Amino acid sequence: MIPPRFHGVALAAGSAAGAVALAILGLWCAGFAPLAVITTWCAGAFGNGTRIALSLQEAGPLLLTGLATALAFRCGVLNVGGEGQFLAGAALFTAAALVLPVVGFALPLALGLGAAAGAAWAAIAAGLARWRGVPVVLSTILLNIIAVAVLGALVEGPLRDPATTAPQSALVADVFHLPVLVAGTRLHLGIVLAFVLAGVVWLVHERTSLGFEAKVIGLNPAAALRVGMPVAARQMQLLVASGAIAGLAGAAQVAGVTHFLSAATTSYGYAGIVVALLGRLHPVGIAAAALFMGLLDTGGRACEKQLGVPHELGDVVKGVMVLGVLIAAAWAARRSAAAHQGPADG
Amino acid sequence: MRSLAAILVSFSLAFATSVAGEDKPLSIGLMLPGLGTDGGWNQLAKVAAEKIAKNTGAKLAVIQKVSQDKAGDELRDFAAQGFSLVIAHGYEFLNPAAEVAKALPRLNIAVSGADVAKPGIVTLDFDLSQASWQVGVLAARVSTKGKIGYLGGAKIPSVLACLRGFVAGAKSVNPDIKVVEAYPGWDQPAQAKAQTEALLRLGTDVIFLNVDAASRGVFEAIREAAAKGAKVWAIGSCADQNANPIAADRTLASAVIHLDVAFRRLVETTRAGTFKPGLVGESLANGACVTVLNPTLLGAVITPAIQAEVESVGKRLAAGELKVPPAE
Repeated sequence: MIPPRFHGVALAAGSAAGAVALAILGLWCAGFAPLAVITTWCAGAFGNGTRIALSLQEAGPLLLTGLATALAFRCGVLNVGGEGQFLAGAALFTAAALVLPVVGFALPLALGLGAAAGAAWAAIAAGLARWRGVPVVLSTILLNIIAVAVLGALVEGPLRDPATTAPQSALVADVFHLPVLVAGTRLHLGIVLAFVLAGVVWLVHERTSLGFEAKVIGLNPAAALRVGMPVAARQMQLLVASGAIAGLAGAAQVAGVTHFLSAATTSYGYAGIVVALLGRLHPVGIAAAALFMGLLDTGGRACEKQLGVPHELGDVVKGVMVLGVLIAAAWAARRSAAAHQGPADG
Repeated sequence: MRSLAAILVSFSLAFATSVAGEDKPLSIGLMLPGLGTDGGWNQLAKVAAEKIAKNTGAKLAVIQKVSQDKAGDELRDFAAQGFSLVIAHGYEFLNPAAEVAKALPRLNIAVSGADVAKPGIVTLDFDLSQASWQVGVLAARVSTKGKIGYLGGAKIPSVLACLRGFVAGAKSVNPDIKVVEAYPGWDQPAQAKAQTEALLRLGTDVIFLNVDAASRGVFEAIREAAAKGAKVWAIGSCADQNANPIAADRTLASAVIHLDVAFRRLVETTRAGTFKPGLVGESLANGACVTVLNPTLLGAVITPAIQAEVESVGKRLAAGELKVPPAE
C-alpha cells in the first residue's frame, strides 16, 4: 500500500503515465511505431547534455509561473492571471533595459522592476476584489486579455525597434542578459533562481505562520475568519506576491532567452496553471511537474522533427494529464470522505 | 613547410567539394509560429514547402507552434542534425535567427515575413500592396455603387500597405470612390461576418479581405447577401481563395502570395551553393505576390477590357512606373 502522504504523488504520476500511455496508443493507431516514438522522445528529452539543458530551460519559466499560481490557489485565490502578470513583467523589464543606463546593478534592478510590474498587475485584481467585490478568477482572466492588447500596443508603439515595421522591440544590451550555464543553449541562471524560490516558497508554506494561515484560509475561510485570521488581507497579499513571481518569470525569460519582446506571446502563464494543478500545489510537486513538462515539450519537439508526429499531440497529453489529476483527486476526496463518514452514519 | 600546408589545404578543399557534390537529398526544415492547419499564413507555408519538397525530392521536417523563445534552440538543433536549409516563417524569428546564424555557418537560414536584413540570413519581405493596387482597379470597375470595403485582420504595417495599394488602385479608376475599412481580427469568422454585413449595409458592393482564417465569415455574409439578390463581391488575399467552397461564384479575384515561388528559389540556391544572405523583396516583379483573377468569372463580370486593364496596371507596377504611396 502507498502511505497516505504519498497519495498525491501517486495520483499525479499515475495521471501522467496514463496520459502518455494513451498518447502512445493513439500514435500507434495512427501508424507510428510506439518503440520509435518512445526512443526518439527519450533521446530528444534527455539524450545528451544539450537536450537535458533544453528541457531544463523550458522547465524554468513553468516552475516560476507554477509557483505563482500555487501561491494564490493554496489560500483560495483563483489567480488565473499568470499570463497577464508574466507579460507585464516581460514588458517592463524590456522597457527598463532599453532606457536604463548600462551599469553593473542594472540587471537586478530591471528584474526587480519586472517582478514589480507583475505584482502591480495582480494588485489591480486584488483591489477590484477588495473594494468592488469582483471575483478574482474573472478579473485576472480579463486582465490577461488586456495585457496582451497593451503588449501589442507597446511593441507597435513606444517599444518598437525603429529598424523594422514588425511589432517587436530592439534587442536589449548584453548587460541585461542572464548568464548562460550550458554553451549552445539558453539555459540561464534563472533556473537556479527558480529552484531557490521553490525552496523559499516551501519554507514559507511549511515553517511560517503565514504559510499556516494561507493553508487554513484555503481550506476553510469561514473557520479562519472565526479564529481571527486576517483572511481578506492575507489573500490579497498572496495574490500580489503571486503576481510578483509571475512578473519575475516574464522578466527572466526576456533576460535569459529571448532578449527582446514581440507581440507573439508564449502562454507560460496559462501553462503555469497546468503545472500547479499537476504538482498538486506543492513546491516539490510543482518542480517535478515543470521538469516533466519541459521533458515532454523537448522530447515532443524531437518526435515532431524526426518522425512527423503532430505537434497537437503534446498539447493533448498535457490536457489529458491535468484532467486525469483532477478526476483522480476528486475521486480520492470522495472516497476518503465516505470512509470518514461511514462509521458515523452506521 | 608552406608548400606542404598549401597541398594539405587544397586536398582538403577538394575533399570538401566532393562531399558536397554527392547527390544526397537536401534536408529542409520549416519552422512555423502557429499550426499548419490555420487556413492562413502557416498553412500556406506548409502546403508550399510540402509541394517544393515533393518536386525537388528534398526531405522536409515541419515544426509547428514554435515561439520566439525556442527559435534559436530549434535552429541549432536543425544544424546539429545536418539540415541544409531552414525556413523560419515569421518576423518574430528574425532576432533569434540572427543571434545564432554566426555560429551555424553550414545552415542556410531564411526568415520569411520580416523586413530587415541581418547578417547571415535571407529575409523574405512579401509585399502584396502592388497586387492590392490591381484588385483596387478591379473593385472600382465592378462596383456600381461607388463604395467599396476593406477588411483587415489587424492594423499592422503589411495590412495597411495593402490598404494603401487598394485605395490608390481604386482611385486611379474612380477618384470619387469611397473605401470603408474595418479590422475584425484574424481568426474569428463570426466577427468578420458581422463586420462584412455592416459594410454591406453601408452600401459597399465589393469587399477586399485580408483576414486569414476569418475569411469564412466574410464569404458567408457575401453569399447570404447575394442570395437575397444583392450584387456584391469578395476579393480574397494571401491564399488563392477564388475556389473557396462558400462563395466562389462571388469571388472576383485573389491577391496571392506564392510562397512556393519564393521557397523554391531558396531550395535551388541552397542546392547550387549560391545562397546569398540579404533582404529579398518578394513582389509583383518577381512573381511571388500577384493577382489571380477568378477564371470562372472572366468574360462575364470581369470583361475582357477590365482584365486587360488589370494586367496592364500590373505590368506598370512591376516596372516601377506606378508606386504604392508610402506610409505617412
